[in-house]
Amino acid sequence: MDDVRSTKLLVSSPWFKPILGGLGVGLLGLLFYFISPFWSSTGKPEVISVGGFLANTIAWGEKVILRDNYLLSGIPPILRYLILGIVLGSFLDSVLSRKLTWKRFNEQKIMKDDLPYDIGGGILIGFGVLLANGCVIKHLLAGVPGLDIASFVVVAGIIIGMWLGLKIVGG
Amino acid sequence: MVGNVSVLLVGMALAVVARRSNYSIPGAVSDIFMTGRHYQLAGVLASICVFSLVNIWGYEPCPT
Repeated sequence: MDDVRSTKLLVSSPWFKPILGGLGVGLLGLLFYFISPFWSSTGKPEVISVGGFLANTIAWGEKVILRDNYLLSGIPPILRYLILGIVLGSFLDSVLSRKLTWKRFNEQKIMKDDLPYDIGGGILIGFGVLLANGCVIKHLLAGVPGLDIASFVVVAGIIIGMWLGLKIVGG
Repeated sequence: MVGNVSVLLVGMALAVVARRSNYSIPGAVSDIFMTGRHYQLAGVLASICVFSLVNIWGYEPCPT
């Protein structure tokens, strides 16, 4: 009886879900690291990354327009399938949990209030991904645990940037 | 084909885990500044700890 109560207490704790989710993400990151060399074009392990896929798309556009890669090269195509899986998994999970709904945008709010922030934030993220050679996922989930000094610098920059952003535009 | 499907499945599993646990790295950091709650950050630290096991097999950081 006590066991059931303590299990219920543990599950209802606000710490339970985030930590369980964090452990799951870490394990999946490890799994991806170990299976990626078998199918990666470079034959080397890859780490989970989202910004890499976007950079890959830009690199493709660069090659089509400029006929060569001047800015970007060597982004692993294996990440395309990871991103596709993330989108597909989200869709299926929302369908299975019956949470898939159509949401109508508040057009006036988007055009008037949100649009400048969306465009500005998007440009800053894109610029930051290329400048720091990776997104927050790659640096925090792979770089920091891998003790990559550059990733520690990037994460410090992200925290400072976020703090400054909250000071400037508010929460 | 097998490789692409396995990577696709890893991506799908990641999405499900992240959705169910509200996992968000930027959200974890902004939560600290905005609300003072640190549950999400504990989750991010847990994933960092698990992935750090990769050092046992000799992880090479991506060239930066």
